[in-house]
Amino acid sequence: MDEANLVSLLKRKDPKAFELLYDNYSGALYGVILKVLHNKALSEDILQDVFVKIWNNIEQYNTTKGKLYTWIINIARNTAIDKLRSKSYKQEEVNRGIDDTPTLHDHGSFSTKQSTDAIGLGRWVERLKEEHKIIIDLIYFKGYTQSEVAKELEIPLGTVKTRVRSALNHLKELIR
Amino acid sequence: MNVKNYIESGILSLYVLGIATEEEAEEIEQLAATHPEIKQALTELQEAMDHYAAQFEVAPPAHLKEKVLNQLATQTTTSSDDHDPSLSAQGDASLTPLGKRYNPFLVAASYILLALSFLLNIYLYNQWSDSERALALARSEQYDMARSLEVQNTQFTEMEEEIAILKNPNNTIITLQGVEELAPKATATIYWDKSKEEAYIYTASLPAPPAGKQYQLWAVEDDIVWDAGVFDLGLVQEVKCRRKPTQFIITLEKAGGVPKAEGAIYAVGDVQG
Repeated sequence: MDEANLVSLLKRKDPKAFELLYDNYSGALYGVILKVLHNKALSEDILQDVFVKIWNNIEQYNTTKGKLYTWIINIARNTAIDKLRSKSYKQEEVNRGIDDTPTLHDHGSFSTKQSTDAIGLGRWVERLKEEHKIIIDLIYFKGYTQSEVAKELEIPLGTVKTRVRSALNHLKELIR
Repeated sequence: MNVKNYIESGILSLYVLGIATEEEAEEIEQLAATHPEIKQALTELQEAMDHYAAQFEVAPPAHLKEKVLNQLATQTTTSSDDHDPSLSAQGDASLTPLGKRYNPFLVAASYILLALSFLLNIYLYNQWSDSERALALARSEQYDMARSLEVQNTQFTEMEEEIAILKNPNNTIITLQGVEELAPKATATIYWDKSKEEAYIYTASLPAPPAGKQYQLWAVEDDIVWDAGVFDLGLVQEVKCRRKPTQFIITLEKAGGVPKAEGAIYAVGDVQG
């Protein structure tokens, strides 16, 4: 089934289409959520929320937002980041203790081994420079602004901006 | 616009990372729809990020699938208009339909401003009309003042002339006394410059002449009486005085004077020395 057909079935709230969506994309969505929150139980709840959001808002999807996959990945990422910034999450984080708290130093180290090989991408991401990977992860998975990245890494804002651009260009080259 | 510069500005990177502003995101989506080069650059970056995200793929626990699908089955389709900011590629960029982009407070505020502007127009128009009326009044007052000033200037000039006459050091001053029967308290004064044979009379204390009548001055030299002219009350007026009179007499005659005295004598005065 091509993407356009899938989208039109999803817009009709076809349960089979949603099952297909789950079978194909739940792993990617769950991976992104885990990458943001580093907490399995919480990430399972968020994954459910994400599918409900897709169900409720699929009418608003159109191709100007990019591919369906891009759209749902962004829903998962934004929902998880919203949770990450919420008061309830910060409270739970205090209760959990700091051991499980995501830090700067675990970028890329959490789930890459079990997943990247499985989907055939190889370890190409390992070839991304560490300075690029840190910036992408802080922005993409933690919702940092460029200014917040500059403050966190103690580097000038101009450097952050330059690295963001070159990081994305480098990533683009890597997947070719 | 320069498409190449736009692509190289790095703005598309911010968009795919989800940190472009709402305005930037809208602009990018519009430009991508109209510029194939931008669309292509954007798609490449999105695919790169999609791949990047995909490498973190983790299969969720098996029991979760049934839970999720069951939950979807209970969703009503009516809740589809809840707008969630997380739907957007931009995080904060809203998917609100075009028709709802206008903040209702701003719309309300704009109507209030329109109404206020309307009221202000009425107020200012009234102010303007009032000003016009005030200006017209002021102009009319100014005109009256100018006329009044002109009159006063004229009067002042006349008074200066009168004073000059009265102050003439060559004058012989003759005072006429009102007669007991008709004007016991009246006086009249004649200022006579013998060197120039000029004479002026002034009186304000004779009874006001009835309509059609006027006072007339007569000069007497020996037994000859001649007409020295008519005059009005309250003004310094020139009278005729060519010879060397020894006495002046005022009678009340018909207006314009008569060649020979007919009326009653009102005042008499002798020339001294």
